[in-house]
Amino acid sequence: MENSKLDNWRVLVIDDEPDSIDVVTMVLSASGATVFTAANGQEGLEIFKQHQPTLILTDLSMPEMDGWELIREIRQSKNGHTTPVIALTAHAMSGDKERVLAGGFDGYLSKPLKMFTLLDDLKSCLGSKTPRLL
Amino acid sequence: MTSTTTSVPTKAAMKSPVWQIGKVWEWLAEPAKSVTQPVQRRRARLLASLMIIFAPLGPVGYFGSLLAFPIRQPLQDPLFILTMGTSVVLFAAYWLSRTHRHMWGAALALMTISAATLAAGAIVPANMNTLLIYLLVPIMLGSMLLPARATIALIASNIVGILLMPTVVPAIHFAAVIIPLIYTVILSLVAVVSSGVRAQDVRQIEQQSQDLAEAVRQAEIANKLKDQFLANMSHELRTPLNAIIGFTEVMLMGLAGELNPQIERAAQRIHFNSERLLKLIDDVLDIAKIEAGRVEILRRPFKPAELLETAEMSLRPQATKKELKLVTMLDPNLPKQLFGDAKRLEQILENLVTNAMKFTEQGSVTISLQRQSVEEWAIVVNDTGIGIPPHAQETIFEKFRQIDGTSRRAYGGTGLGLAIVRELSLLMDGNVKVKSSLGSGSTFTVTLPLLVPEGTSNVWKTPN
Repeated sequence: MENSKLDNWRVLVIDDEPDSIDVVTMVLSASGATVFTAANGQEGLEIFKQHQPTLILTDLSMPEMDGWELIREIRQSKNGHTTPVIALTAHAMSGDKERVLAGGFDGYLSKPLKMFTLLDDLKSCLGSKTPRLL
Repeated sequence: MTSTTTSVPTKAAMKSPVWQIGKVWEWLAEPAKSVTQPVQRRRARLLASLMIIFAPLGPVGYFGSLLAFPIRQPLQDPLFILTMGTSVVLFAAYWLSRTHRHMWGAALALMTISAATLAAGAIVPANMNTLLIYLLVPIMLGSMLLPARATIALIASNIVGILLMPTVVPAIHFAAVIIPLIYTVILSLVAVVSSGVRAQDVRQIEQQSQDLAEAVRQAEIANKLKDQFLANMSHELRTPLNAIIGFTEVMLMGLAGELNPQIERAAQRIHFNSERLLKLIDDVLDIAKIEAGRVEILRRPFKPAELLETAEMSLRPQATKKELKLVTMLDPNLPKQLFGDAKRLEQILENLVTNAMKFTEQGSVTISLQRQSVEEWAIVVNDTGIGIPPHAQETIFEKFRQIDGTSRRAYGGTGLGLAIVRELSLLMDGNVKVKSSLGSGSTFTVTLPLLVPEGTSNVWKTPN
């Protein structure tokens, strides 16, 4: 993995588990991305409005504002309908993925995340939306 | 709780006119929707049915007797007026029986029949003894249609009516009403006792059906809780594993600084073992979901070639590590596209191959997707491993079962892989079989129904 790979990425990571945030942040910043973090949807929404990240990775079950409410808020706010949002969730029961995609998310990665392949997984989640980030 | 029971008549019975009459009658006697309690609906339906019979009975009987004993001016005959009046009231009771006031309908009908009988006795004192016997009819019906207290009130008013007869009609002597009175009292006792017994039976049946409904509701709640528990469990186990696997991978990627060889090896062991733990969690949850009947098998088009390729890609590293040959074969007779649950098929393949590799020290593991017949295809996994003794060939598909306790320690694994394969095969309307002899490898065959998406070719050349 080359460090310059994600130089233009401004990623907002939202999760109520600090460890989950840390581990993703380590991989993303090592690749050159600028990472913002938030512990719940409410904080995440404020950071989104303030810093306009190019990609949002969010947990689904969180206190205050969960991922489902967050995506509704983001889709309604300025620039929010084009920003890719990927759900990172430990809910891996069948049907979860379909529900997430139907809920307006651009992609879904289930926890435990694979750090070795995180960047590739994110890109394959984003599909045609990837080039805009690069 | 609705109690409408729909009987399903046979086709022949539906055509028969008798059934049609039953249908019409049922419609005529159908209680109001607002009447929901089974007992009340039964009573309302009975009242409606009785009124359909009783209301026209008086006029029909009266006109029938006119044929036998012609009277010049029926309009001046008090019996005619009494009969017609009763009939009108009984039709009104019928109408009430179809509303939520059906109980008033019953009271009205029975009071009217009683009063009309007493009045007829007063009009024709000569026939009074015979007429008063008819008082037994409303008393019997009261025990079926009315609550116990109303029935007793009806009986009391009838007895009072009988006792008043000699006072109101001078032509009647008190001694004349003694016989009807005794009949009335005896039958009333019978009616009250029998209705009390019946009410108790009904209460018991109702209590039982309530208990049953409650048990069903509890079972549904328990099932929902179990689902919820499974989902939570999956979530709660994955969250810490995400951190363990994540940080270990971060270390192995060198993102937490250079690792000396010992630490790197330790990190690799942590990684290997946490992957194993993850696999175990997935398997346990899978079995639990299958047992709870919560696994849905999708029917979507998929390409067998892709299934084989995906499986090979994910299994290749394991094979390389054990220096085993991994061979794949795709039967050209297999349609390019099939219907099925590709993810679950992949899981079957993965479990079978992982199992095969576990018990194979050297040689090869072969995966082939084959056409078995016009209607069936199969996933066949063949290895050159230690084989399975005949006595174990059935039990290996049971949960937590391996050939013996020592093999678990020697070969590892959860003992759930083959159980999942069997359960999934059964869910897909297929089956799994094993052929093996000690020392010369094993062949697992999962046979599945061949479903082809519409519009795709399904040509099969019979093998030579």
